[in-house]
Amino acid sequence: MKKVIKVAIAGNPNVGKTTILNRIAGTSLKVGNWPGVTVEKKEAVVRFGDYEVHFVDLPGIYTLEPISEDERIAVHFLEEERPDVILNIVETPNLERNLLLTTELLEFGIPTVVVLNMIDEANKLGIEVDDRRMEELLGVRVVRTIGRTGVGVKDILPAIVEAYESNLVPKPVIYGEELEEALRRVYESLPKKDVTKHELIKLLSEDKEFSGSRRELENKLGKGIHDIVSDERYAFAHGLFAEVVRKKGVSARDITDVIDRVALHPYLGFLVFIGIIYIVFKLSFDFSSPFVDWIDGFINDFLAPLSYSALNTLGLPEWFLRFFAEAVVGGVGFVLTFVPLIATLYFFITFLEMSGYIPRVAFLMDRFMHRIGLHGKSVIPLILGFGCNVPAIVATRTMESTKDKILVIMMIPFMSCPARLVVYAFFVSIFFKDHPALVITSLYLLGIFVALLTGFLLRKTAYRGSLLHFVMELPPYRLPSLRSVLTIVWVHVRDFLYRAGTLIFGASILIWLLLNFPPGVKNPAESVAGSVGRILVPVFEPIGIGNWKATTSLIPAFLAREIVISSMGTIYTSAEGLEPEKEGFEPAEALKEQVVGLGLALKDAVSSLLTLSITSLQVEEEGGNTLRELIRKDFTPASAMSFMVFILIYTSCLGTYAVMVREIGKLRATLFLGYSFVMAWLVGFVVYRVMVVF
Amino acid sequence: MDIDAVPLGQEFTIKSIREKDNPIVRKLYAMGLKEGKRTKLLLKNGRVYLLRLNNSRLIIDRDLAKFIEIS
Repeated sequence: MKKVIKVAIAGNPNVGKTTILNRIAGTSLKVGNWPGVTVEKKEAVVRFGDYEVHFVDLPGIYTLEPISEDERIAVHFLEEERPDVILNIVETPNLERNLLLTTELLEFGIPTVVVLNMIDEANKLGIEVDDRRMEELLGVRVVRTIGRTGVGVKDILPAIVEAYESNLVPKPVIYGEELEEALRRVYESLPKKDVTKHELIKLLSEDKEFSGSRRELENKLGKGIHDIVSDERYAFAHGLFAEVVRKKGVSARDITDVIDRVALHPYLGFLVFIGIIYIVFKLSFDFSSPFVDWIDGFINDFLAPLSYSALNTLGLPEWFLRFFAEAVVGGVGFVLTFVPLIATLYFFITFLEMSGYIPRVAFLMDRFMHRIGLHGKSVIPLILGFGCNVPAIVATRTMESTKDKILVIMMIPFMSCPARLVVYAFFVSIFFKDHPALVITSLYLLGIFVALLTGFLLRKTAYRGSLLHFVMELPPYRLPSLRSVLTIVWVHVRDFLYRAGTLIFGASILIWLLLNFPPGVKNPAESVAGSVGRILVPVFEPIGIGNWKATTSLIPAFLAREIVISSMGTIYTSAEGLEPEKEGFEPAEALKEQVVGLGLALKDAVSSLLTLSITSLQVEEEGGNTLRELIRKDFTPASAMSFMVFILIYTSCLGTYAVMVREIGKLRATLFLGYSFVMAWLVGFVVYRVMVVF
Repeated sequence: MDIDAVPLGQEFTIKSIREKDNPIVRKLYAMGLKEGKRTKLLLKNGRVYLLRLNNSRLIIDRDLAKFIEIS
């Protein structure tokens, strides 16, 4: 059996801890270029030689005095779990500041490996670190890395094992005489001698039993205990910095400052922000549209008839063939066509997250956010909501105030996620295909407006409070590697495919069964599903959703919004009897067509990137009895818009509800669900009525 | 003198910081903003400032900046 080494990965925020863990362990944990990406401790196991190395990636901390929840998680782990080795990741360009935390970590007396990360950026700044001298002074192992490219990462595991095997306890950190004397007295009065310097300092600073020694020290040095301790730690870190840094470099104006003069300009910055949003949408739609069209054709013109003829040959019963056509192809298959759109949008969101632009929006938006009693930092979880509401809600753990955290959590579900984009893309391709960008951008903006309105209302009523201080570090801009961006995109796509194969497939089966129950029912409107849908019609009729097929599709959509599309696929296929062609199917010919189609899709995707206007969502005019044609008959532009607005505002997502229950409690989460339903209905009503009039 | 009076792009030295028992001020300390440090005001936007400190950039709000005396 392999021996286990428990390793805590600790360091300042945004120094590349998770990037390095991903490199060592081959994991695909979320990374980004702003402080606060990791808010929970994440674990990974690596086998190395005779060892099983258990890594615990902790949220970033500047000091062992936590303020926010994520910082408390990190400090609690270090204080209570006692890892075998501490892997201290350090941002070399900001070495002096990082060495303060290193000093505090050394107080634990645990074998430590210091990783000098971003050594390339430090070199560019003219900073040179004598790592051998650092090892000698501190009694630790030092490794140089460039996490982004993986340079030096291979040296980390051997260093951990070496530190562990030789029990490389760091040399004791020695502070000024007066503080050391006070700590010695605390130590001597303790019955238990197995105590770390960190614990001694905590006892001296906080324990009532040592208030005498504390006061005496404070009187002697003329300052409070916190100042004494932090000044001593700074002095140690500063001295260490002076000893190990050969060249300190110069803070020259760099590319980040040049970009920031425009990107963070109070007025120009907003134009840049709007321009970036436009470009992200344009590239996402234009690039993905030919592939969406191709997958649609691949499923309906190749996979479905191929499978259907194979199943037919096997002599399977008629009900199974119907199940296949209605639940599998009509339901799951239809949702899968949107995979390219999801992947492309995530590509750009991930690129922005890793480039360092996202935290800049916090600086830019502070002027607006403080009007509803929040500071700019709260914008970050809201922006993350565009990627997925669930991790965005978890990201509020970086917020210092519980009231602010609850308030922001109740704003996040209105930020439009890619699951909603699937629904918009479907309806826009039918009813608004001449103005896809305008309609979809308007929906995104409407979501932001409802979020701000909700924040304003809550701040004026249930969550009154004064504005907290705003402190945040802005990272430099970094060009993310294609590999790391694609790794994160793949995680999202894999998650979407997994949901398609489980949740969406399950919902499609359930809907299909309910559409065929009681057994022998001929008209799906008379089935159990149809009856429930018809009961709901009076509720949704005022907002323009007056047919049972649409209302029925909303029920399973509570699991995840994209299920509304798979359910519509199943319901309409079932009710209208759409079936793949059974005759005249030539597999070889069809496959050839698909290969040619893929080539054309690739060509169209690339050429669409070269045009300035959004030209996408021009789905082929299919004619006949296709799902899009049937939807066109059952909806009007006004009712389609109202339907999209309802899907946007109502928190129709089990994952979001579950994480809200965890973070703010069941009562608040359920009340919020009710609020979002009422708000969705009211806004849907207004939008529908206005569009009907005009 | 406080940060509000500093023109954009100008460097200054942190002379003293008040309210050191305030956890957010201690965090500011841990982020490297402390007495004697040379700092540069990069940008202002409403009630927030962007400062350059060595090779890092810090956003702080105006109320917090009032705790900092500069020279």
